[in-house]
Amino acid sequence: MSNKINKDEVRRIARLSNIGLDESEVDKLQSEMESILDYVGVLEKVNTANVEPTSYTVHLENIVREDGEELGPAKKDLQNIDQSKFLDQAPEKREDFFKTHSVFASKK
Amino acid sequence: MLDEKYTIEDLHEGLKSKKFSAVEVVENFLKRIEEKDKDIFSYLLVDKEGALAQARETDKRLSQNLDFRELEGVVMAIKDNILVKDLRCTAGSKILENFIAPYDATVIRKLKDAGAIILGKTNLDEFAMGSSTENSAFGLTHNPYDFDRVPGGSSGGSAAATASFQCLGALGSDTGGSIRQPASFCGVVGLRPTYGRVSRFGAIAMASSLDQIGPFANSVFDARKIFNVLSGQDELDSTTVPKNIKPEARKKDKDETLKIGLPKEYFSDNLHPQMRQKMNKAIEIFTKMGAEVKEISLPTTDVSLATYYILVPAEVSANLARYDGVKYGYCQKSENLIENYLKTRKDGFGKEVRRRIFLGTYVLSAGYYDAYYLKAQKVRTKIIEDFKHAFSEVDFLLMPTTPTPAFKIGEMTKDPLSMYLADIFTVPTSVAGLPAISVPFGKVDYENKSLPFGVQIISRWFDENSLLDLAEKFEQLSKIHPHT
Repeated sequence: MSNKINKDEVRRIARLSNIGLDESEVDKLQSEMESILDYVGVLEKVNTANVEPTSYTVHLENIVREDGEELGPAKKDLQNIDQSKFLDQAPEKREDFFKTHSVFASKK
Repeated sequence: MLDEKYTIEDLHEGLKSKKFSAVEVVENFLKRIEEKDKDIFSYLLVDKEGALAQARETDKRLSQNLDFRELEGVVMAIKDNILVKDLRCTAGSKILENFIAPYDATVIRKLKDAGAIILGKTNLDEFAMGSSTENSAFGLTHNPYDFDRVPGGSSGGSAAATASFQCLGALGSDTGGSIRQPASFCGVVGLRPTYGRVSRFGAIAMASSLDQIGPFANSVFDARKIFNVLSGQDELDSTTVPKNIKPEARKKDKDETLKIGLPKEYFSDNLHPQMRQKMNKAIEIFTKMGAEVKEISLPTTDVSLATYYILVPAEVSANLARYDGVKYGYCQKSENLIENYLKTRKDGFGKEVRRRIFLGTYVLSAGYYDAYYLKAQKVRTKIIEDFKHAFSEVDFLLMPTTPTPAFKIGEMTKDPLSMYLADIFTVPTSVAGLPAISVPFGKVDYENKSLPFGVQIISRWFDENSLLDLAEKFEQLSKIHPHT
């Protein structure tokens, strides 16, 4: 795999990341990403045939609770936090809701 | 009354014998913070009122002869990516500069229940991404041993506060070495517990499959005391395991000799000659203990950092998607939702955070996932197998915590990759989820300075008890055999 990344790709990645990028930043970011990708490229040489991937180093399974089962004390405590402690921190709110722009722009 | 270099044990003795009150202890520490922290800047926030209120509560309990709790009156500092109810929690980022924690992290609830007093919140690299605390949006922390040098990172504030006795112990988080590396740079004890040992609920997530919370302290004894309070299963963090989980039994030979492995990959040219020399002195102490110290090999060492710098950015890009300027935190209002996101996240995040989000987005994007992310997850399996193999031959692994002592402020900031390399000795254990401790071992001469040196010991998964036992023995013997 080539570890080269072109300027359009840099712009595309920034867009996918939902982070604004000035044109003046593109060159520097391109060279930084290339040097890091170059470095991590050493993994290509590792033989991983028939090796299973690891996501977590402890064994995890889904934990389900019975319907109607009482919540533990820690979860109950959390449920009792006053809603305003969260809502008051919103940049904008209306009544009991976060307020933001609509997701879909209206057709002009 | 309370001079420096005293421990939790000393504090408890003083409180019990009424040599001083908890309020006097807190006042003493607040004064010390006022005097010292203008030069060090380990604290982002000092909760004077809260700490004094907690201290009055402790004094009241003591006067009523209520149970003397595990960490009664222990004044602690908390890395500012761990939520303490009603205190600002910034993660060192502009995007959270006004965020007030609505609840306590599980570890904070446990500390409070055990009687600890929280003095304040400490500086860190933004969202714990960095190795020097230079990436904080709020200024840099100085190494207490040389103000021109970094304290390490990302938990640099907690390490520096502990080293300069602006607290008796502190919490940090360790993703790739963020407890052990600053502990080593500042000459204090730092423990990264096994992944799954301590709840991360209420810790601001960086890379969820690696993040772990652990203590800083001025002695192994103190670190153990704090660790014992922190550990245990939590219904709010499904990766935590029951407290009584048994580590894999130590392999016992007929002679039952303690076997310690030196992975030869860590003793290559990467290691500064002065560090090598110092390490030899440390090895002598383990030999004096009666341990058999032998060279072993961890062949995947040289690909561990690369693996880490694929896995971490990938997880970062997912975890930090939540900062959108809608629900809380910094918001740059714009004409539409997309512009809102783009501007908020551009201005709210610092350079390193943005860089990692970009990298993570790249390695997870269509066409690259298999080549980078999946590949790294497979190499991760090989790294774990390597350690398993090593632990079939020896009981502990030993090496310096870092390849060099504390570097100068500004020395590594120009090239992100050189900064990443500062963690090369701590990252492999993180990737494998193993527990590891950095224990101070005097000073090392470096660039005409005398700087703290840390020894890293690694044990089997969930074997913190044996790890702490060995670290304590080493700490005691190193006091008897002077080495500086």
